Amino acid sequence: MSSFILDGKQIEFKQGQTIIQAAADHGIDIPHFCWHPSLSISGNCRVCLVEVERMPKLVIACSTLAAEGMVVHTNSEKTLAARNAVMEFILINHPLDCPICDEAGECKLQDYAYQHSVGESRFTEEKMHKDKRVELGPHVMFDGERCISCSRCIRFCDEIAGEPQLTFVQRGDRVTIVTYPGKELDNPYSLNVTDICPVGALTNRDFRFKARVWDMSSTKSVCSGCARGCNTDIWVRSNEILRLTPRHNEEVNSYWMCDEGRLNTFKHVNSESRVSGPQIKRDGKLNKSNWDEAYAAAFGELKSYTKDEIAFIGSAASTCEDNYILAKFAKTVIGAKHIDFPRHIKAGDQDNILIREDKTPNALGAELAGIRPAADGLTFHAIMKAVDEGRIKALYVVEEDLVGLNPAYKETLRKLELLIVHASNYNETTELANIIFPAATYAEKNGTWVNFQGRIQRIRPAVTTIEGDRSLDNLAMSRLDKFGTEFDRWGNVKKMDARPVWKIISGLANTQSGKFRYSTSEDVFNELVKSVPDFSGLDYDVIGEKGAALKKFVNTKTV
Amino acid sequence: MEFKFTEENLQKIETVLKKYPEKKAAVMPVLYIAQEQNGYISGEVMKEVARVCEMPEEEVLGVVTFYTMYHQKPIGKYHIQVCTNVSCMLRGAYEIYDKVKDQLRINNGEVTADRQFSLEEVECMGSCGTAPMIAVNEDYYENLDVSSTIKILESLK
Repeated sequence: MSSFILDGKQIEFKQGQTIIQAAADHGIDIPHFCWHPSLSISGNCRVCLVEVERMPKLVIACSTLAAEGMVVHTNSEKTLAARNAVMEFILINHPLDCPICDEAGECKLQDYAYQHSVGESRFTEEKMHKDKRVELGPHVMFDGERCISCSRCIRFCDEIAGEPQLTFVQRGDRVTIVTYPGKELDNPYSLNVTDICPVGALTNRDFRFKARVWDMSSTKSVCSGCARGCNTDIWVRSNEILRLTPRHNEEVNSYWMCDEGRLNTFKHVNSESRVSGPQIKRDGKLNKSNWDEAYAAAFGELKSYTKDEIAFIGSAASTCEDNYILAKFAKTVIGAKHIDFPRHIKAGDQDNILIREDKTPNALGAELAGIRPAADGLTFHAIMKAVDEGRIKALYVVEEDLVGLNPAYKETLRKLELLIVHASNYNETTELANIIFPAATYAEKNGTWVNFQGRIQRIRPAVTTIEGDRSLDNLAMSRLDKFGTEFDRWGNVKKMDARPVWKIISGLANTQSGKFRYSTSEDVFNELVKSVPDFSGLDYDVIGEKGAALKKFVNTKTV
Repeated sequence: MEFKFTEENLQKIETVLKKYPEKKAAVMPVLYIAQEQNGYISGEVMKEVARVCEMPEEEVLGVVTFYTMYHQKPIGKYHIQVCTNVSCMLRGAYEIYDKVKDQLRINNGEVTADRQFSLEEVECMGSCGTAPMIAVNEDYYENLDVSSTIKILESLK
């Protein structure tokens, strides 16, 4: 392999790689605004200027190909002077509104101004004024003054989203970004431009002015919106999720996620409709109960039916651990054979970028973990038919809003004698339930999901429940979490009395057998690995931050 | 207001397109032809040019706004461009510019009520050796002073 010298270090590169890409592959970050590893090279910001020995002038690292024996300096006197000059130039017309800018704290321009700029401008004239609040589309707001014309957003729309909805207009210091008159920045991936915007020019209208970046913690998670399982970060302040952002994983979602997943998969976590504490229906009214009472009641009720009269509904939105424990309980404790989960296929709602027809994150995992009917058991639709016909009298539903899925099920479920539901939020199904167990959402628990590629990925708690403590449970901590006290507004946070499915079912089982001894979801996962060969060789550390392919899918080609 | 190229112009475009490796590259000459036909570049014109050059209309908009020679509003029958860049300025361009404004009673970027004249203050048109100068549509008038400029305007009225 060929190599060149970068700041005295030998760097190997592949033929055709640029200096900046080769450096990035070795974990060395050469300052850049317009360059993005997944977009075409534009070379307009000039901040990646580096000195290459025996070249007459400085060159931009983003478009200069690495060559054998090249000697590159990124911190030489000449390079630093050039970088300062570029920074001074870019800052000429950039407003000093960091104190009210959403990007502050995660702004490349701000960071570089601290790292690479002299901090003084010789520009005494008035800055250019442009529109500061342009609604480019339903989700994205544009501030023309903050824009440094790097063109990342334009290239993203052209090259990744496949919708060339943005363009530069005018020239010189009047350059700005617009959509074609009468058109909008409206595509399923539009919000990614707010992530790649190196400054605060493009902001997420859903998140604008909600929080300072440094007041939030971020937790590595996975999007629950479809079977793709885009890697995400969950941003939390005062135990409340404020936004999701995509996390780089070249195997799954690259740097991107869709707007649907970003905007519509976390609001239920903060919602007023959350179920907090177990609820038992008496005389037609739901009453808050305590866990032990609810466990005993649920178990007692279940035991009064024969195993042919009971069916269990798992969920492709629950984790592998949750579904494994549900299946184990249903099969070994109750002896049930009617076990399945409903599919959420939205036919046609799929593209060749990220979005999948299957709107659940773990259909593959639920099935592998044991949510499937016994040889003589009924599948989901047959179960619902049997309920309708009165053959199944008791139904145990985990994290599925069956009425929401199909309004006709409302009448079906009314025919049940017993309906036990795990739900994070009140919905039309919980209205019909005899016992409701409050379920922790995907943002409140550890666990694993298997995406459509057969890749197992971890979710982690970003929000604490009543049992939790950010510090003791090793959750990501923001400045407010670390230093807030109970006397601060942000120290008094709302916590739900909710538990993950595996924990609830273990509690239920233990009222009788005492054999469901797990203290963490990792314990459950380790047992799952032992009993299901498809998971062999895995543990939480192996899965890590970027997931791992299940063995039988390793060679499956997926796009 | 739908815009369609005339048969004659379509043939011109055919010839222009052949000069370039891809249709997109011909956007500037095609825009010129369109401007000649329509007088200015409207949104409908941009859409048609985008279709002919097989490129997004967003990119056509970028080109149109980048170059000052493309007009997005109707201009006068005589479009007068006065250079006020260094060479012309040193030799009295501002006196000429002010006089033109005075005579036509319009400001930069405006059109007279009878649609005969429009005025634009421009940077260098590459005629510094014969400064000061103005351009009326495509024609250059050079080595001017205030009185010769008035004569030119009078001759056009």
